[in-house]
Amino acid sequence: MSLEAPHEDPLARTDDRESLESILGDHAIGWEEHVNAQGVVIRPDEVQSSLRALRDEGGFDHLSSVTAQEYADRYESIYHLSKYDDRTQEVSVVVPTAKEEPVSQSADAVYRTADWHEREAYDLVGIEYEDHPDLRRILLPETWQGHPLGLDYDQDKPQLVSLSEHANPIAEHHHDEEGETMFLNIGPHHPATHGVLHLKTVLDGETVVDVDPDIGYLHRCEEQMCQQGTYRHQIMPYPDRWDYVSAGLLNEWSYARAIEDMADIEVPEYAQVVRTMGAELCRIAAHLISIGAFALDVVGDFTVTFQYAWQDREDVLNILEDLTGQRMMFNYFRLGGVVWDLPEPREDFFESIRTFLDSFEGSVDEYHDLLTNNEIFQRRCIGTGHLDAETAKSYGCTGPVARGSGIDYDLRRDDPYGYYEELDWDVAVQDEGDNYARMLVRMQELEESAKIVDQCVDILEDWDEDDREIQSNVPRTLKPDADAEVYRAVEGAKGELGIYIRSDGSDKPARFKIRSPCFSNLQVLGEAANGEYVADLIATLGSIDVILGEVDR
Amino acid sequence: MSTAWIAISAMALIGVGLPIGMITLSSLLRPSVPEDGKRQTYESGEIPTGGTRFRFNVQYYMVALLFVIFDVETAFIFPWVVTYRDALEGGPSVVAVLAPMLAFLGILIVGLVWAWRNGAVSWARSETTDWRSTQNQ
Amino acid sequence: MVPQTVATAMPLPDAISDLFGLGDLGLIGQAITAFVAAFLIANVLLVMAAFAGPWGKRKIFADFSDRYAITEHGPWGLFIIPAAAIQLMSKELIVPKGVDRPAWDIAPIIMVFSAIFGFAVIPMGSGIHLADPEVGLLFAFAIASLSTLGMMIAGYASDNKFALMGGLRATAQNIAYEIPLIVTGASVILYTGSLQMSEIVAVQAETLVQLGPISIPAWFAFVNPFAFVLFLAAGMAEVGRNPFDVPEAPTEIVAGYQTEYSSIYFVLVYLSEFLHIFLAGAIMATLFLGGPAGPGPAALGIVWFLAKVVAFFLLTQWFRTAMPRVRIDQLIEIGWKGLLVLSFANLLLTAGIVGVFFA
Repeated sequence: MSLEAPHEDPLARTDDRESLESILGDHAIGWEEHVNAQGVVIRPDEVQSSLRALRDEGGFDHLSSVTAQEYADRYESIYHLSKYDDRTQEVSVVVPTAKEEPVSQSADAVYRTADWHEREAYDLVGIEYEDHPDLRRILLPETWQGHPLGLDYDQDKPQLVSLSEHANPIAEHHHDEEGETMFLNIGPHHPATHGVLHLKTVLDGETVVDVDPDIGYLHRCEEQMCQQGTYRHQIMPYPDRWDYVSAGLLNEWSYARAIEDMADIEVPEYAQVVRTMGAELCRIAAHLISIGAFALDVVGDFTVTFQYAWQDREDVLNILEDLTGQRMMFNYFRLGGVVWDLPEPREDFFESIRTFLDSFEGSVDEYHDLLTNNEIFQRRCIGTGHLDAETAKSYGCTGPVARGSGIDYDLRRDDPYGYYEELDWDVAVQDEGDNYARMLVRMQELEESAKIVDQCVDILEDWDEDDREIQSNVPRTLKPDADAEVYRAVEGAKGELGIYIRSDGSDKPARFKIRSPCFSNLQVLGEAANGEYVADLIATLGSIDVILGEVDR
Repeated sequence: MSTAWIAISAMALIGVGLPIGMITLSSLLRPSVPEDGKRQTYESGEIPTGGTRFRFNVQYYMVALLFVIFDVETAFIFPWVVTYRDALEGGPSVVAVLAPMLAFLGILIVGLVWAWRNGAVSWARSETTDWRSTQNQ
Repeated sequence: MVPQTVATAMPLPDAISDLFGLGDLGLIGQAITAFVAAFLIANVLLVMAAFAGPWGKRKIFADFSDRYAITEHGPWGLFIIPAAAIQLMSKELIVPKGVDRPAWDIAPIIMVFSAIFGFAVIPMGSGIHLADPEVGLLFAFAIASLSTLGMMIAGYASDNKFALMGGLRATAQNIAYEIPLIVTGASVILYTGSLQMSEIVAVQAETLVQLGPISIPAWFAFVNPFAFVLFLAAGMAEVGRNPFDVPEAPTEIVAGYQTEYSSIYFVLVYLSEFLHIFLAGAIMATLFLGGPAGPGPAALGIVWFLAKVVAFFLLTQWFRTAMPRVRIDQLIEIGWKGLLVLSFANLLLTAGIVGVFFA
């Protein structure tokens, strides 16, 4: 990476070793080469000053993810930094800590998003973070014993999980019991939480004073399961189960991209087009659910918008079923391509997609009529759940949430992969940062995705029959070089879906970390909803659009 | 007293008797399997955090007071609306019949404007909360 | 055109009395016939609610959203009605720990009572009119607003936070829309000059305009359409349907004041909601749409009346599928800053219309 020519972007490249040396100076105590980026090793008690220097002088304003792992001789936290303005510039900040006393400084003061990421690292791996505002377990119950991704964790140890009553988190602000605030659990069993999310809410009348999302109800150890599968075949089925409302192919691509970069696997161009088309169909389906569910939150439980959206998604799923053989858990991507070619007869398949796209234009107009053009809807959504660009960046928001806050950031364009570069489409951005802007972004993305699918169909239709290579040659047993590390992200339905893989030379990853866009986006809920009405809290949650399967993994 | 009230009383009896009858019928049909777990108050599947008998910020308190006033005033309108058409047929001009009520409504509207300007007819804003987006609406 | 020339104060009981020759029994006879008539009307209401609740609502929603609903239960799925009735009646009643009895038990009864009681003064056509007191309209308004009390009690007695919020919201909503509703109703009285329901219907039976062979009746909705629209909006809020379904708002506060009700109590709360929609539709039909008036013989009055009520019900369901819900503070402001002012303006407008055209 560091050998590449300087980027044309006005932001000078600061991700090569020389620049990093000049920024970090003595902070850097060692250097590593990751597949995706330059790795720099720093001392655990200099995390804040190093990251601040990188953010302010180097321009790395995006803390994409924090990976924690345990080696035989040390613990390690890796801060994957990047830039919102140029996603191709990346740097991995590696913070090793001693085995006996795994304490490292928290990055929360520099990047707010580190809050949850470090809690997860503490929860699963066991690294403790100094100066962290609230170092509690996040995915596992608070009474859990041990850290499951640590090397010495006893899988067979029985766990006693007790439930405790919840306290009012702002109770100390009220010195007498006559305070007027009310603590209320919204979820996990509640019509508005889109799954098993638990919002610990403090209300003053109808107004939200404090909201604290409590996640982990759907934690299925996806990372650990992936670590126990072989690269070639056994990992690919899992991504379908992260963002499970039909974003399957987008998720599969994240793993495919990471491992293909790591093991240097070529993907034939034809397969890239097929991938792009399938992925955008998935994006349409996922956004339809998002819009339908948002209508459910704002219109009520008998809205037709939800039903219409569901019907359109059904049409998309029919196409995807023809393509992949499955309606939701596709398992269609393979390393170096896809599992099989388009279904025969190809003309019928293209025809079915075109029929859908034709009717879909009318559907989008109808959603606009039912929702965004409705005056009551506008009164409800414009100006509520406001999230400014700076806050969104600090919390690591990506996807429609970031784009709704005026951050022009889309991995499909900023860190190109697949066939997107060759196609004609736009990134939808709205500056307002409210619920309405986020909905508009999704509406526009529906149209953009439809445009992409349309172009892919044209390209595939004209593709030379002898040149339809769907998979490149991949070794039967894939064993990447030992100690190779890669962090790669794609634009999932909800934002930047990143995968970190470290190889130990065997056919299974030594560490498999998932950077879920919903996880980071959900973290911002409090910022957007505090001081709003309960009704707008629900609307904001809907417009941030989390899938708990992806948040909890 | 008009006999109408006999019929109305009968309807009142039916109105009370019907739901009680349905409750009785159901109590004969339905099973009862007492169990402590089911008797938890619902709070989204979590352990309920205390009761609801505490001080609660009712943000429409002023509106509720206004309602009492306006409801009484509304009752005063009824005698006028009932006699309005008859009064017109009696000969006086429209203005003469309308004027007293205009004055009355005028006073009411002045009161409403005053309450409006004081912010009494909106949802009260709580002091412990920081108000952001809803402020400029 | 069906001129209602009812001379008696309790038309239906007297008709029954004449039919069975009970006129000689005096007060006791009157009481018996009144009771029988009230029972008949209540059953008509129950049957309507039974059709609307488990069956009609689903079918309507399915039609709006391009789906089928209830296809497996007899012709047009109609057998779902007895099935649902039996199922709901025989569910276990779960009484949460903290509820405040007997207030918790009384609340659903109040809600149903207020809806059924209101129908005592509604002229349904074809002679189905239980009682016709001189203050009929005022009585209907007074009784219909009793249900607020039931909602408030239900919300507070449940000892559930969602129910509490629902109860408070219901109260806020009802007091905000009560006054516009009544003031707009009063504007009708300017025109009819009487609070008696039969009189209100009779005045609207007159001819407003003669367009060749077609005579347009003087329904108040034609005399002052503005008042009709106002009343429709306020009525929609009073029955708590979209865009004003804030007290229940399932995605926000689960089910509002009805969260903790199960089994037969749930049925009662639900029943009262449907009956209140019917009552609002009935008052609207009587005040603005000529009550049971319609083409054809007078005996068809009940058909026309029910058609108007069902039309209102259909409208509530239509709004429900398409209209976003307003927020509670917006609701209060629409009520106090919008509808209240408009309803006063409408009162004066109507006074002008009546003074100029009908004096």
